[in-house]
Amino acid sequence: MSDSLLSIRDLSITYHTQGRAVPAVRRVSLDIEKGGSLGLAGESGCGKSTLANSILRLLPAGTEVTGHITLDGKDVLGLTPGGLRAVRWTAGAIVFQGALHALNPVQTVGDQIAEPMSLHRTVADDDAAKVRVVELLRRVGLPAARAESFPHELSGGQRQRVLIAMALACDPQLLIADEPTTALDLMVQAQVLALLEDLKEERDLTLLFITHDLSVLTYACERLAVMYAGRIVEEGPAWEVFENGSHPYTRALAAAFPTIGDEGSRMAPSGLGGDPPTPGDLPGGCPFHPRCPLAHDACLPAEPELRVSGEARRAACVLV
Amino acid sequence: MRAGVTPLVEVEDLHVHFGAARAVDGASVHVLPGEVLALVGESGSGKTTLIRAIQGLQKPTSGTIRVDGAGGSSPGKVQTIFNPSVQMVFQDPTGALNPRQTIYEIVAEGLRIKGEAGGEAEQVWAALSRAGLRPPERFFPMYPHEVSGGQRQRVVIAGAMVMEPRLLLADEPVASLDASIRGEILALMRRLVDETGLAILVVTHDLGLAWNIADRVAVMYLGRIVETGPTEQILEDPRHPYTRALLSVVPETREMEQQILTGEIPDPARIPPGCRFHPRCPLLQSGILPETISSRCPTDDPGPTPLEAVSAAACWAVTSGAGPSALWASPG
Amino acid sequence: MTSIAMQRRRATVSRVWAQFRSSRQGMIGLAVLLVFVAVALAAPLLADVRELNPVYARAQGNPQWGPPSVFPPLGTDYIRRSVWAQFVWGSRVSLFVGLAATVLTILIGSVVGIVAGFVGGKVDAVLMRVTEWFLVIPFLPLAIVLASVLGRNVWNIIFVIGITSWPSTARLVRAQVLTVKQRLFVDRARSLGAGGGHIVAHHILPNVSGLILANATLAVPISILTETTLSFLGLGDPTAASWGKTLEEAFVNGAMARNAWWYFLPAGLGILAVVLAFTLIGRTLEEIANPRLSRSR
Repeated sequence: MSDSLLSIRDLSITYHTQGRAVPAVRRVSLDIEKGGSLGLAGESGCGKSTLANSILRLLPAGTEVTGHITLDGKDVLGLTPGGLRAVRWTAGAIVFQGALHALNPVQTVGDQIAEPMSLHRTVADDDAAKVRVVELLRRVGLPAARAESFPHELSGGQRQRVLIAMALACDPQLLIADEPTTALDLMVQAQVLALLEDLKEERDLTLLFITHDLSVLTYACERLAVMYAGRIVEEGPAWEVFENGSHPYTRALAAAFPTIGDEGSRMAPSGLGGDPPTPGDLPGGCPFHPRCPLAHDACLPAEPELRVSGEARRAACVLV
Repeated sequence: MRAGVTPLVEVEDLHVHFGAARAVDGASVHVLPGEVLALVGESGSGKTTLIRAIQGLQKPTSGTIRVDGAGGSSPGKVQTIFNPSVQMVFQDPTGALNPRQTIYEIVAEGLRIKGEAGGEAEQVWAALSRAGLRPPERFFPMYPHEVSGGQRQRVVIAGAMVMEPRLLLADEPVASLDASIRGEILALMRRLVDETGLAILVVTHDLGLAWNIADRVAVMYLGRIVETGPTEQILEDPRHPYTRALLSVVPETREMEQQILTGEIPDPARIPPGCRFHPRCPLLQSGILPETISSRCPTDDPGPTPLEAVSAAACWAVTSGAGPSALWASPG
Repeated sequence: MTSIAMQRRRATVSRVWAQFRSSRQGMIGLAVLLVFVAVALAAPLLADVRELNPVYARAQGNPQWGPPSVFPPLGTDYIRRSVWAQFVWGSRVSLFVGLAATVLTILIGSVVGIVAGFVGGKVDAVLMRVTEWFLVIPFLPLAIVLASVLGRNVWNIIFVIGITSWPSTARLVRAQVLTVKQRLFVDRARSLGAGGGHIVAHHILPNVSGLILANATLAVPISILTETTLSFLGLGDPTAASWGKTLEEAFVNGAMARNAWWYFLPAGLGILAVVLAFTLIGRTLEEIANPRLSRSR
């Protein structure tokens, strides 16, 4: 594990709202090696975005965080504000979902891309920043003239490209992409995924990719981690996990994205009964048992821990 | 058209224009009783506008919409009449439900508008139950914000089904729902079709959804249907280069070589001349088309797929009999 | 089944009441208001209406300009009338004019706002031009003209206030209707076959009623102040003993110069208290209807 760029150990994150403790992430450990890519899958409320935001300490004040996050050899949770600023953007940068509100509506796209560069003084002066902005825009597939545009003048796909350009501004090693393709059409989604893949190759980026769409992750990442109710319930090589999940939840999620041409799923949509649990009110035992098609008595006494379920694979299910 | 079966809805040469923007530009499509037709396309293709026009929420500029054989009899005449046998399911169930109404009131609303006095409670009970909300009476007094997203979509479906529609228009019915919920809602829709003979026209950008529940698929691009046919044919052996490209970028179809189209769907106010897809067409760009065909693409409009078509593609390479499979065998 | 709906409605009311009760400003306002309502309702028990008649007052042997120490509880005025009686009976007129003018304001404003917002198009354009016209004409000259043309009685005062203060309500309601109209549930109702009347009654109104109620509560003090202003300028009903009229008479007959504080202070403080009470209640209701306003709490 010495060549991990990002290493998370026993991370727990609890929100405190209206006097209630809401555990969003519970004892999560994971690693991404330098140049690797990990896809984090899960449904709304499973804690995946909280986990992503915690890596750059972007959580709201008053949130309780325990455990360890090591990014590029630095203990993120123990950093001083100055050290934290250095880590943000330069060691790791985050690409948000390309909705309109992710960008400042009254600032040109070029100024917004230049902002982190001048904040972190990675460029000599304004002229150098302009040159770099044009370079970045070209790299993400936008014409240089777009630097003068305002966010509302761009399409969803173009905004997503701008957000990627922003994240690349300070040459980060880790790129965290939080649902970067969710609001996009199929073709534009493919364009953005191809761009991320090219960038990863070209700059030796490490990628943490978060979405609810398991099939996108499988396509874009080497490894896959599936979260449910604040915990990782399965982890392993992407295609193996997608096609042959060990955890019943993984299998259900994978089945939600049918393989076209597969006779088994033709006219047979497959899903789970019930709803994802709310973080403040988790069922006892294995939190998945109320929705699990294979649940039995052994699921009730305690929450199963991750255990080895194959080569380089782990899953948290009593049946493994 | 299948012999002897009268289509439930026929949309012929429909145009919906917003100023210069031709959102729907000559689309023709029909739905038979008891089938699921998936209308597939990217945002900006006009698919939502098309079903809003069928529902009567959007006034067409020209064209004919015939529901159940009734409606505009003379082509070219604008017809929008409310028809209770056509009901709609929306993409965002949270927005589709009035936060100040109880679930009972929401489901009963259609009956009250229709003026059906007798047996309201029984009908609401049955509709909720059929939509999988059991026991129904538990949901009667609840407000939309008190149930989950998946349950809200079931309430929307129950509110539509209580009208006993023959056609359900569904606009991205699972796009805003969690992945694990998706399958259950789709299964419910398919079950309603199989059990009650309902027909569904579902608008989606998700080809997996079409594979899951649709009998037929119609692919829409810039206001027109560019390819239509049985689901297996469209998804396993597409003929139109646009359909082919769309299919190649579905993450699950990794065997196919990806054809990522450049740019985005053009502005409907500036529809390209000739074949509307030609500026992005990978088949044309590959240069393998014979001169006789490739010279037509930028100037001649291949026209929309005909209304009656069971299987058709609006592409010069296909209609001129160049044999699409032969062409695709050696792309580039 | 309506019984279930009724139950839920009652639950909503009790939830709003619980929220209201937890607000100190709202409860203070409500308490003050209840005191004044009680005074207005119990006026015949609290003061003899004949005390408002100068002939009766003289016959009773009341002193002229008598301070409270001479003629408890609040002294007498320049024609020997009891200030206490004026205060008690004046509260009736002030509250009534305030409430009635508000009802008129809200009625006109809501109807114009809903029709303009919901129907849209040319109707909206015309109604909004009319609204703007009413908004820009200076209020006092119009009120003076109307009052002198229509004659000075309570109903005309109410009419004058109503006709001049509805435009801001109309604009507020219209803006809210425009947002609600865009919501998907309106489309859903349309696809169920609902007409305009059903949509307004079942979907638009319930979603703007909170705003209208809050706006109404805030319009009451403005109406009361307007009535006071008109009366003070001598445009009020000469036969109705409102607080505004008390102030006018006190001013005209030199109460300030005589330092007869007992003459004008009760009416002034009464207006202040009622206006404040309604404002506190209105603010609280507004916060409940629109939780974003109370984020600071």
